[in-house]
Amino acid sequence: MLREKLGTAKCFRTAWGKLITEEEAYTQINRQIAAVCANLFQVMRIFEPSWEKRTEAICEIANMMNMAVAGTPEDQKEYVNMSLYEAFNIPELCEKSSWLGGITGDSGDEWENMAGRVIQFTRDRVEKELDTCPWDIVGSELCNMTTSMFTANFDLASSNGTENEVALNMCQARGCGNKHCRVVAERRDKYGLKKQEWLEHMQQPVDPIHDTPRERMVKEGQCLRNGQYTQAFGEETSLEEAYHWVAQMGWVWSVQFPMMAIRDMAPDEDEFMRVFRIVFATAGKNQFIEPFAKEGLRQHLGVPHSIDDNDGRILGSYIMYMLDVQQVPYEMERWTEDETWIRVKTEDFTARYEMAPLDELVDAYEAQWNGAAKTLVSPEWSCVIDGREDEDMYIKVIRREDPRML
Amino acid sequence: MLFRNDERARLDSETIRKSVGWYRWTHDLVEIKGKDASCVLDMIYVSNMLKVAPGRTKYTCMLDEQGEIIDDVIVMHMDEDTYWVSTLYGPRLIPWIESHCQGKDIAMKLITYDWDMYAVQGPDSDKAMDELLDRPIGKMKRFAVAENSIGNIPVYIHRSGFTGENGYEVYCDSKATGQIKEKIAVAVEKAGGREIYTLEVYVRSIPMEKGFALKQDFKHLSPFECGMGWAVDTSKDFIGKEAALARKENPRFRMTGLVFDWESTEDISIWERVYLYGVEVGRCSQAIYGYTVDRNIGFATLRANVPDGAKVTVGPNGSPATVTSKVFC
Repeated sequence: MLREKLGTAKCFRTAWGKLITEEEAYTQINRQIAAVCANLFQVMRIFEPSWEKRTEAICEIANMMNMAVAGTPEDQKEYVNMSLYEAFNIPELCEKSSWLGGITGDSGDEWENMAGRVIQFTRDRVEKELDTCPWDIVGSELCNMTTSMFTANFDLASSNGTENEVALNMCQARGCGNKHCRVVAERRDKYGLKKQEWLEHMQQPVDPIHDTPRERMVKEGQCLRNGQYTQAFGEETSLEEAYHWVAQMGWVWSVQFPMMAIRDMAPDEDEFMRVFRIVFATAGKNQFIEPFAKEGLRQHLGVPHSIDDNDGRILGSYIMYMLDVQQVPYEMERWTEDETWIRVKTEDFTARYEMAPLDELVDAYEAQWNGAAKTLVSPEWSCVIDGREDEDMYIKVIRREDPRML
Repeated sequence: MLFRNDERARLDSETIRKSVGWYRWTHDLVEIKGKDASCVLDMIYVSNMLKVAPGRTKYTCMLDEQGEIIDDVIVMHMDEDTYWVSTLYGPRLIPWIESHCQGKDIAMKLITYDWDMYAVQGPDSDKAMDELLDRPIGKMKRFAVAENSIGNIPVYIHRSGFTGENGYEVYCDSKATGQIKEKIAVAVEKAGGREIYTLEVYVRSIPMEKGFALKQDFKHLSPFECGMGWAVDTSKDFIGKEAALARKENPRFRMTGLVFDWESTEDISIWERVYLYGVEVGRCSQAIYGYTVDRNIGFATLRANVPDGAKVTVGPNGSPATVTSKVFC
């Protein structure tokens, strides 16, 4: 008997009718947030030439904000009981101490398509190894910053709920060019180790590591391989849930937290924003400077050959694609060869995680997409975002003379 | 993840298999009281709970309306109208029962934080219990629960375990847990045993060798597809019965064991895909190293027509494995 209908899968349609699967979109959003983070870190490097000073600053803020998520100091003491035991199904047979931080760390990694495994999970020692990391382009400051976030995880999981019992080291890092990322937590009392400062978290552990051979490394996280992530105690997160979590929280930890420290590195607000926009505009121009990059995008989105190279809808469709990938709802207002107008609720665009709006995303993307317009379409074209102070804002791709182009 | 050369994990495993080991093993515990408690539990679980006498316990499972296992538990009949259910999903069990007990005279309470539990497991566990308890354990039957005391501290002793060895579970008031823990450590040491440190050994490696599964291993399976048909009483009613019986006639899957060829399984996570001749035929619910069998082993949910002995590959790198019985030793 013939099939009466085709199978179905979750996907979205580009402006040109090409279907983008949930898996592709999820892969893209992780890398996109990492790209924004990489641009932001260039801003940081311009304002603070000392690697040590800037790294310490972002470590401090990321740790503080991670702890703040767990509430007041009193709430923090009970955070693992109140939240983790239920949300992560950590059974009561587990001794509440720092090692449980390995569970939250592993979950966060896998939700963000950082593919790897927990090598060891014992009360005295936890070893986590990654084979991939979408954020591996950003640089070692971010690797260090994540150790400060782990520190918060381990603090919250500790027996007193406020200060962990371990020495925590990212002894290898993809962002430093290593084959693996590797975080090892070893109990200080068992291993005779001292409490660490922020910049001391990339030391070698006491016990030997287990190095997974290349033939058994994995290229994708569990959500992509298996459609779900399952942690050691059986709690499952579907690809859909992980994707939605990333679309909110990915921005918070890797962009918003460091942004708070980086703003303070600039001499003033205007200077921060001037440099910020320049960096993102340059990134946008470089996105499509090679002819094959333009060709690749056309193919990816399914832009028909009948659409001329100098048609602003190519950029318009790229922006639509990026909004879909980032799960930002929008409405099309104009879609002609002369202009693209995309209406977006301002809060949807800035507050990916409702509790933590990120207004700088408007500046970042306006500068980046405007830069991209010059190379993806032509210098006749610009991208502007109007109405950012209003409830709705408009992302416009228009022909515009720009005598002071960034 | 466990590896062949992990000497501490190997020692933990050998202690349980050859001597006696102890570890804290507190599960979620739900107390169910009331004159309708037995009837409600009888409707929730596939086994005949009305036959479980006071002082006896029963390993069983509950199904959803599709006939698929949603939790496996031990129900303990503590006294006439009081049951304890030992589960890893207490906060989810209560709403499930609540939604199926309208008009019934029962009261439920999560008592996890009131009772700590320690496992004493291994062939020498009788010796350890004789050292430990104020009154001799005598000829306590498997799946029996009884009051006793340790240094005059009241405890419940449950003869059961998750190791495939002779063993006991000691339930104590959580306020007394420190004293009980110390006394268990001393008694087990006197019996020639020690504390077991490696969670993955006592939660996964040791049970898996004997075919003991966790709830997540039963995903999408009816009891008849995972070797738990023995627990089902088809003469009574229970949630999911009709669908489960249909699955008995036409099973979609079966739960199997896997023995891996390679020396380690770093690329095998929970619920990894399994392929036969390159075609996906199921999922590997987990792989782990078994120190008694000295192999990497796993559980899998495969299409019902994949036979034992089939050579399959698992995961993204094609890790080769052989389909076997889910009881490895």
